[in-house]
Amino acid sequence: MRIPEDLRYAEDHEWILVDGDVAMIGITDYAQDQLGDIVFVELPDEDDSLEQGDSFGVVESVKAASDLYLPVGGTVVEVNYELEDTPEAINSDPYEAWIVKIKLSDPSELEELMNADEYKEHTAE
Amino acid sequence: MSLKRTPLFDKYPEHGGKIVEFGGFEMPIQFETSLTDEHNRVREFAGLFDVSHMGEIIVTGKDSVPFLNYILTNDVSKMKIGRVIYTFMCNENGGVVDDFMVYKIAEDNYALIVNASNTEKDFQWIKNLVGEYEVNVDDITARIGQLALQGPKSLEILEKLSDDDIASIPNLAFVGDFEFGDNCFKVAGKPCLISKTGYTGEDGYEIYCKAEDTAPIWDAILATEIAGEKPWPIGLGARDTLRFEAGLPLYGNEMKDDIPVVYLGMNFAIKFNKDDFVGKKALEEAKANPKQKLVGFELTGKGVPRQGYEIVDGDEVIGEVTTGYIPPTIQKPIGNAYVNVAKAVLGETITVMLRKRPVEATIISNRFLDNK
Repeated sequence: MRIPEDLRYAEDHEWILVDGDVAMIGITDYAQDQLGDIVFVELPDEDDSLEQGDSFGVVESVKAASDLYLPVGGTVVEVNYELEDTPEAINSDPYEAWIVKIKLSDPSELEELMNADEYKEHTAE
Repeated sequence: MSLKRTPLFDKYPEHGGKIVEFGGFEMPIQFETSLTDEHNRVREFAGLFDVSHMGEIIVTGKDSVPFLNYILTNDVSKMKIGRVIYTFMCNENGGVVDDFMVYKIAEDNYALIVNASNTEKDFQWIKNLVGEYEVNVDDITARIGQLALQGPKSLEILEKLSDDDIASIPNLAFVGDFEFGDNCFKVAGKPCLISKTGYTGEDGYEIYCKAEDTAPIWDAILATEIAGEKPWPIGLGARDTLRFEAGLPLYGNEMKDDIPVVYLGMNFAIKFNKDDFVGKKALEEAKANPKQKLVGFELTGKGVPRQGYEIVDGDEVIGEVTTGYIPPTIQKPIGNAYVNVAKAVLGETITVMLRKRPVEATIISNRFLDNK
């Protein structure tokens, strides 16, 4: 399982790449492997204002639907619309196929996230 | 109570089997590739399913025919030896206790191949109905292994493992019996009852053997090459997407004990011209005054329909999705649903609640593969 060093991680298997006050969010290699072939991604609307823990979308595999929860709160500034046509990109390139970009409302929430080593331990449990 | 295992349980790890609980058994939901790859392998080449968890209930005795005709909706009286029919077994309300194939092994000797999750229930149900009928009812599941080899290369694969004329077996027919003696064809040297039947919409065979012979036959089939390609082991996940695309119903999804089975739209398996049978009166009434019908649908908006999602008309709930997917062969959001009769019409528009989001759908035939 790939776990890039330069990313932060949430307990429910999202990755976060921070650039200033914008967080790019996707799901990890571990998550896509657990889900199986992804056939549909439900995306939020741009400008949605969401809190940490709010659902920001759904990832659907052949077998099941999985809600996505925001690891950090803020406003949705960009959505990866390519996933509407090629949801399977999340399976093949989970760290390139980002889902949303959030302008952070409270950057201190980032401190609650895991680093790569901590996430690796978390997935081993 | 601990879960049961088929004779092939120790084989699953050899192929990366991911184990789940199903029908009281530990079964593989998929193997080392993916649900999609397994599904496609069956459609394009061949796949092998361990279905040993299914039940075999044998009815014998001089009253076999009138007894079975009383407890089942279909008519066994016209069956020839070596033939298979599909039937429902209903309760007094016309709901389904189970659905299964019936094999006529010999005069007054019938095998009911029942759903794994229902074997014990069915056995008790059938025994409770014996009354004055002179029949014996036996559950022989524990001594029987069952494999399903499905896909366009199935016959070629079996022909490499047998000197017997498997090609001579027509659809919905079989050769052999459960004594596994001289009446049986052999696969990989083991005596089997072989039927040309299946649950995927592809050509294929179901192979019944002694429990202890299941593993060697499984190994032999998976090792067989046709032009350098071999069949794959297939899990229960792909089994469901395959049968769904083929328009085949599943007990627990399209059939329940509180839905009159005439709503399913498979009345070829219900013979109303028989003498009385369990559920006949309720089914006649439901046929005359149906409230709902099972339909197929395709979403016109985006999303994935799933079992349990509601069908609505304004504020009113008018139905429910029984099975839904974006399946691997027909890559569209499609499903089966029970819908109130007024809206259960081909071409009609219905609204499916995808969790909290309403999405429109068009009613289509649920023979999805035929209409691809």
